[in-house]
Amino acid sequence: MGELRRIGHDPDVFEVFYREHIEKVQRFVARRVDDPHLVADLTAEVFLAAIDSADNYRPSRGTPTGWLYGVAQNVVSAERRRQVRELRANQRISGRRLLTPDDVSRLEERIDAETGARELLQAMDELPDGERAVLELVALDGISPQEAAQVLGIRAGAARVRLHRARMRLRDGVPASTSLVDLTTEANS
Amino acid sequence: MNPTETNTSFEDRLLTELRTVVAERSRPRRRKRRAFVAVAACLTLAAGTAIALPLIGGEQTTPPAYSVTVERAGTVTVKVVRFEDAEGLERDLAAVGVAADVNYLPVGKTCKRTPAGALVMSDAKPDKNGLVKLEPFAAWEEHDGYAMLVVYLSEVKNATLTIESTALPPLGPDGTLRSGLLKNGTFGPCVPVDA
Repeated sequence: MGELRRIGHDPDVFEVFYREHIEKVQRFVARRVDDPHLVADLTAEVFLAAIDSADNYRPSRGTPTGWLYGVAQNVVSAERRRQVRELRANQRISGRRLLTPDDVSRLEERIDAETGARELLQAMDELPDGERAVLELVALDGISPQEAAQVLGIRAGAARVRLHRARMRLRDGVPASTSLVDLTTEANS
Repeated sequence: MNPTETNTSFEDRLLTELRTVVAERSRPRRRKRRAFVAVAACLTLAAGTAIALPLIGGEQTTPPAYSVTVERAGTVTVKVVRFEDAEGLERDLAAVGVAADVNYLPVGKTCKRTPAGALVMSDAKPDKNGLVKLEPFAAWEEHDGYAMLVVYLSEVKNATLTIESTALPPLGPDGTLRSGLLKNGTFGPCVPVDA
């Protein structure tokens, strides 16, 4: 756990962390964004933000993976708030600049693989932000309700209440699809 | 770097650039210390503009004993490094809209108030994102070398933040870091008694 706080100061420690989490971060972003160039930019930004904020990591606030999901969620939320222009203006690494045509094809395949997740996200648009945030992390990203609570800075009990409400709202008001039923069942477990 | 000139993947090229960022960060730098005054924070708050202006108390020749910082999200962050100048901390908190009663006590002591006062709990209203703050009001966070407290301005109306502490991190077996929120007009002054 103490290693994580060194990722902003030791390139070798960072590399171990990066290799362990790069696929998770790419999938996290690809579930929410359908443009391979933007996936590349946001992936770079997530790790830059992690480097900048690792000093503040405390094990009591969750696992390293859970903490990184929290960082990733903040980055993607900034994109949703249309702050990405400012983000790019200040970005130290342009992810898209590092892409070859082969990379773009591979990211497109990853994005295609996450189509069901993005459809579920669209269905979640009707949910209050608080319920949506918990359901995203549990049903889309596959982390436990307890970890989701740590990512969001709320109690585990509150996360479970939000999951229950989100599941009920989706079942009552959102047209069913296979992926939706599967995922809401998972969220209820 | 021109990605077409290499045989590596995007992930490898990104790693190379990120390693460079980390290596540059790890080089030693001169640190600058900046100080701001309470009046500036008040004016900034009144104007409704930004934010994060630390009010630093204590002597200027040593690291400040505490800081009070107004954050963008309508919160005030208190960091206590040393138990000095409790009245200064009260003044700086009052300057940003937080009435406070700060008592640094010897280990083994606690505050007795007559009357004891009515405790105010979080009103648990959702914020603009629908999130509800459920944690107990004003819980201290223990950090290396200091203790930190986050206060929501929306929760301290008509109330006084009480800080009653006997130790800073590491607390040790008998050290205590306590805070609470008492309704104004319902409590007496702190009289130190055996805990």
